[in-house]
This record gives sequence, structure tokens and C-alpha cells, in this order.
Amino acid sequence: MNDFTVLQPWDMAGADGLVAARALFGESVDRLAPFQSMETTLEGLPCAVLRLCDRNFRVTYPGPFDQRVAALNLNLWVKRLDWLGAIALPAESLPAIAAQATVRAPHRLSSLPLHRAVPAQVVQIAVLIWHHPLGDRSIVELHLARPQIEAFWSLIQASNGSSVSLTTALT
Amino acid sequence: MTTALKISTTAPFTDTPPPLGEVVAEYRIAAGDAIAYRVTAGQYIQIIDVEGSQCSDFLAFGGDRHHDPLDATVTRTLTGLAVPQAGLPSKVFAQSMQPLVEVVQDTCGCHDSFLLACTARYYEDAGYPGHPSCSDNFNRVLAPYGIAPRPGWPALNFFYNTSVDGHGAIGFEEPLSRPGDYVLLLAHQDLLCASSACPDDIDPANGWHPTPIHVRIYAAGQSFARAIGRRAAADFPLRMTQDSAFTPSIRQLTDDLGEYNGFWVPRSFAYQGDQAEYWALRQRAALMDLSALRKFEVRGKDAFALLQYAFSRNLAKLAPGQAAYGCLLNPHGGIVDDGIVFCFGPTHYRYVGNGDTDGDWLQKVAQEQGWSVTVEAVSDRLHNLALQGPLSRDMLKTLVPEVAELGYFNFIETQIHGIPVLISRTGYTGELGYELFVHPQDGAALWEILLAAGEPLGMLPLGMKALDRARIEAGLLAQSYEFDDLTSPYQAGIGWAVAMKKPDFMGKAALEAIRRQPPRVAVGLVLEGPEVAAHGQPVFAAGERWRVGQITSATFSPVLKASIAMAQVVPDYAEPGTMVEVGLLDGLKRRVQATVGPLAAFDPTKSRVRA
Repeated sequence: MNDFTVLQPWDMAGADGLVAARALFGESVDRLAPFQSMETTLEGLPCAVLRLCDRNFRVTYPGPFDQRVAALNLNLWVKRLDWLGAIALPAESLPAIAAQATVRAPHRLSSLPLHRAVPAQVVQIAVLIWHHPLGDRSIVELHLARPQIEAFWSLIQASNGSSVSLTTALT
Repeated sequence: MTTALKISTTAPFTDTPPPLGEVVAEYRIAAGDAIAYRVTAGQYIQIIDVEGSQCSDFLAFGGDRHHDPLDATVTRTLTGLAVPQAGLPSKVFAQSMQPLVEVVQDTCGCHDSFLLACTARYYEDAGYPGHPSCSDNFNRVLAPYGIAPRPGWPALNFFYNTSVDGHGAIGFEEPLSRPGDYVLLLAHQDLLCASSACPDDIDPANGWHPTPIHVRIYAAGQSFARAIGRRAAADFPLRMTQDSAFTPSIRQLTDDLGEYNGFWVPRSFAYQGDQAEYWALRQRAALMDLSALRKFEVRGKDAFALLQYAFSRNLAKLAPGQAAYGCLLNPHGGIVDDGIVFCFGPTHYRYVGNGDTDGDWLQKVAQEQGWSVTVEAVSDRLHNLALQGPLSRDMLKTLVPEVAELGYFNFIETQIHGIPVLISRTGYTGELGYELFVHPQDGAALWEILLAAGEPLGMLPLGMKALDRARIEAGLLAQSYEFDDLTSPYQAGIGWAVAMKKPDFMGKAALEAIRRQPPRVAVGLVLEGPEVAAHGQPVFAAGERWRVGQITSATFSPVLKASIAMAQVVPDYAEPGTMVEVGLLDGLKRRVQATVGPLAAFDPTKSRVRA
């Protein structure tokens, strides 16, 4: 049963990926290492920025992020990846997910701090686990291939005894 | 089942290195033959080149029906390496992308994953129809296990010395392995394996003379340190990668360690990242393990004479408690190594550099000159941390008040919480900072003390990624990047460290000529745009097809918000403000304009280190 909402983050990457990120989010974005994130606002709207690589960023933003980037006239792409989806859960669910997940060295998942993400595998499903604030709450945002979201959802519910904490998706 | 005779573990082998642990099986593969054998998950496989210069091709099959073979292409792709190395990443994968084995130790470091195990076709094409081949041998020994034959087996070819040249041609030469060299593999699942002692005697692949291979299987549940074996020189013993006194503490904070100069060192720390470490260094303080430096005590009545002759600086100016940066020189003015000489008195100095061979070189010079001096390697008794950053003094003086008065390139011998330490005001970051030398037995305690003292100031432990960024900003040299023994100090950018007024010193005559017209000189470049150059990329005269130099190191400078590089260019293009072009990619497809400036793009006057 599908009782969650699939979110659709923005991705941007390219030769000027970092230039664009600095122009949009300020110099502090360049203090992030890959798989670190920050919260900010863009045109008055809340924005969570996750650095994936030197010049690759993923952005949770409710507005037309592509238009904001286009205005910069830089050498990069920005789009919503139609094969990627995200679901958000309360941060309290992180230990249960972490217990089922494996990560490859040098990544670590134990006690994943806020503003950090880690690529992991839950059984055979690849998932990017991102721990970051959402307003005054902290959440764990899970990025997966869209076709696997349903299976992943069932998996974490089953292994958690269908507890409430995992089934209370944040939207 | 195995098609080779399994040797009794009590049978002595005097031609192999001693066992590393509890042996559960042992096989001798005759020259030109191959064997198949089973291992279970957790067991270790040691493949030993008994006489040296002998290839041993390796196959492994995972899965309950041996249906999941080793796949070198998968392995190269997942590891990003031509051949997995001990450390990270080290796994050898199957077609299913599951790990089969992991390289735990490797004393050779030169293997092949691109070519097939030798085939009948190879020998036929060379005029040797019917010559035995590894692939045919594998087919024979694997047949009893139901493995279908192949004309050629894609294998991991241990000790096979292949290379790809600049034109894409694959060549091979005599293996680099010496007698007793080995690889130690950890089985990640139950496996059927096959190993060969390659029969190729028609070319240098086995040095023209195939010899035996020895395979040992060690019991599961044992622990062997991950290590890469390296030789500093042909006549130097094998040295296995080691932990420093601080590494156990560092492993608590990161799994991202790599081999550097014989030590496992952190590249970055978990959840911190190199960016945060870099900014901690530039704005607050950072703590790093630099134990990979080599230390030598130089003692005797001619200690001063030796270093005054072999080292580039004028040590007559050094008083006890002072140190000087410079380089060891060879007769043609090339840099043997760069390092720091610490003066304890006219008959006692300490040289801290990069190479195990430095002490040997000093001893040789002393012997040739007939000087009475001893040079003793003490790296195993002195491990060292660097505490660097604008707040490093504020932090350290809470532990050692006299640090407040410690001048640049001065040092003191003192104690921290009862731990004897030598503290020098030196570093490799372009920041105010200190290096702390300690006996390894006190290393872990010192690490914890410093980490705790630095926490209120926001100090972070720092890995090699951030350190490399900082040292490039500061224009500080790295061996094999900015210099080698063919590079003069004038080309490397440390001509200021050559005391030409000394009456005589190693390489003086050559350096007098080089100084007048060095073939290239070191400069800093600031590139337009965010792209980062790489070591070896060409530097062109603006608008011209001809090169004027090449990049030695490059990074993106967060503090300068610019792509910067160190380069060595012909003198006519070394004037500050000169515009040049850096060839990115292949040097042709994209050129980026760059402006010549000081070698140190950040704080070129060194005001921060002298503060």
C-alpha cells in the first residue's frame, strides 16, 4: 500500500556547477565536502543543498529552481531526474534503516550527523540516505530509483514490524 | 579435489619466506604447470614467487556452482585501479560484482589485469605450435570441477609486468618480483581457485626461465595487517606499510586511509570532509600525522662538516635549538631530498626528510670525505604530529607556556603532561604552526591530549587531501611533483635555500652554472575559470603552439576562490604578470589562460608562518 509521497529534488551539474552554487547559495556552499549539505533560502523559499561531487549538487526546493539557474547563464544542466524519487521520514527512523543498510568504505553510517548523506544499500536496493533539517525538525531523506521505492517501502516496514515511526512519511 | 599434489604442512620449504600464520594447506606448482584448489570464506591465499621474475595467473569462481568467475574488467571499474592494491580499494570482483578476494598484502606491486592468461594461440603465432599455456593448463585442472574450457582465460596475472605506452600499445617486460615476493589474498566467499606457474619461456614474461610458484592457504580467523611492500632502493630491504603511533586513534575517526611513503595516513575524516579540515587549518587549527617523514641522527666530531657539505643551507648560522629548511644535493646539483636540519650542537644534528635512503647517502658522503660521523635512522623512535593554524599557538601554549616565545624555525625539548616531546615551529601548510616529535609509545596519549585541547577552539584532525591543497597554496614542494634528483633547487623554486657563499658543498660547481641560466624556474599560476589543472599538463606561450613549461601541482584554492597551480617554465616566461595558457585534457582540446605569479599564491610573503 502506498502511503507516502514521492518528492522530486532538483539536480544540477556541469563545468560551472560550483560557480552556480556559489552564486545561488553563497560562499558557504564551497565549504561543503561531497555528501555534506546546508540549509538556506532562495528567493524567500526554503532550500536544502546537498553536494554530491565537486561540481554536482542536489537541491530540495519548492520553487522553479531551473529558472533561477537559467538566469545565471552558466555552463551546466539543471533538471528533475524523472527516474529518481525521494521520500522523507522522521529522523527517528534512521537507526532502523541504518541497521538494515550497508555502506562501502570509506563511508560510514553509524550516528550519521545532520547535514550528511551516505550512499548505501538496503538489501539489494541502492539508496542515498540524507540526514538534514526540515524546518524545525530533522528528517532522513531517502533518494532511490523510482521503480524501487515501493519495494523499499515495503522492506523497511516489514523489518520494522510495521511500526508507526517508519510509516509516518513527511510530506 | 585438486589436481596438484598437496604438500604436507610439515614438509620444510627452505626457499620460501616463513609462513605468516597458521597454514592449512600448501601447494608447490611446478614450473609451467597449474593447479586448482578450494578455499573457504575467511581463509587467506598466499601466492609466492619462489625464485623471482615468475608470473602466476589467478582465477577464482564464486557461487555454489562455481558459476561466478573473477572479472578483471568489473574489478578495474569498481576499484578505479589497474590492479587492486592492499588498502582501499583492494577487492577483486566477480562478474556479479560481488567481492571474491581482497588483496591484503603485496610485496611486488606490479601485476596485470588486462591480458589473458597465456594461450596456445600466442605461442602458435610466435612459431611454437603445441607449446604449453596457462589457459590450457587451467582448462585441464578445472575440468574435474565441471568448468567448461576456454581458449583463453581472462585472469588476474600476478607478477606479470605489463604496461600501456603513450600510443596505446601494450607491452610486457621481465617481472619486477624478487625471490620470495608474494601477494596475500583474503577469500570473501567459498571459492574454487586456480593458480599457474606460467610456462612462457619464449620472451621476458618469466625472465625466459619459468620457475615454480608456491601457494599457502592460511586458516580463517587470523588477522594480517594490510600492507604494501616497497623497496627504497635496490639494495634496501622490503618495507611493509605500517601504522604510526597515531594511526589506531585516527582509525577511530575515519576509514579513508591511504598508503603514503610507507605509512597508512588519513585522506580525510568521516563526516568532516576535506573542505572543513582545510578551513579549520586556515581559520583555527588542525592536527595531522606526518610520521611518514624520515628522521636521522647525525652525530660525531664531523657532523657539522658533513651537513654543511651535503645540505644546501649554511649551517654555520644555526645555533642549538634552531632549524633550517633546505635540501640534500647530488654532484650535478639535483635535489636528493628536501628536509629540515635541527641543530642540537656542533656534534649533533637531526635531519628530517622524506626518504629512507637519505641516511645512506649522508653516510656515503661522510665515508668519501673521511669524516668521523655516525648517521642513525631513528624514524621508528620518533613519530610526529603537526599542529597548524592561526590558533595553534594559543592552543599549544595552554599545554606548553614557553611555546609563546618560540621563534620561527626554533625548537624546544619539553614535556606535555609528562610526555617528552620536541616541539619545532615548522610546518608544511603556510600557516603558523608547530611539529611535535614523540616516541611512539606516547603517541596515542599525545594525540588525545592535543585533540582535547583543540576542541574548544574548533580544531579538527586533517587528512592528506586538505594538506595537499594547503601546501600548493603555500608553494611548498612535494617530492616527485616539484623535484627529483634531476631537478635543481633553482628550478624547483628553492634557490633561496642554496648558500652559494659556502666555500664548498656538494654540487656547487654545477649549481653555479645552473643558477645563471636555469632551464626552467618555478612559478605560481592563477588560471581563469574553475577547472583544475593536473601534474604534467603543458604550459604554452599565449597563442603559440610551443610549450614553455609544465604543471607540477594544481588545486582549487578555497581561500583565493581560484584555480591555482605550481609550474616550472622557461625563464623568459617567469616574469610576474606574464600571460600563458595551460593545456587541459590532452593539452590541445582546451586551453585556459593563466597569469604568472609567485610560487606561493597564498601569503607569498610568509607573514602567517612568521606571525
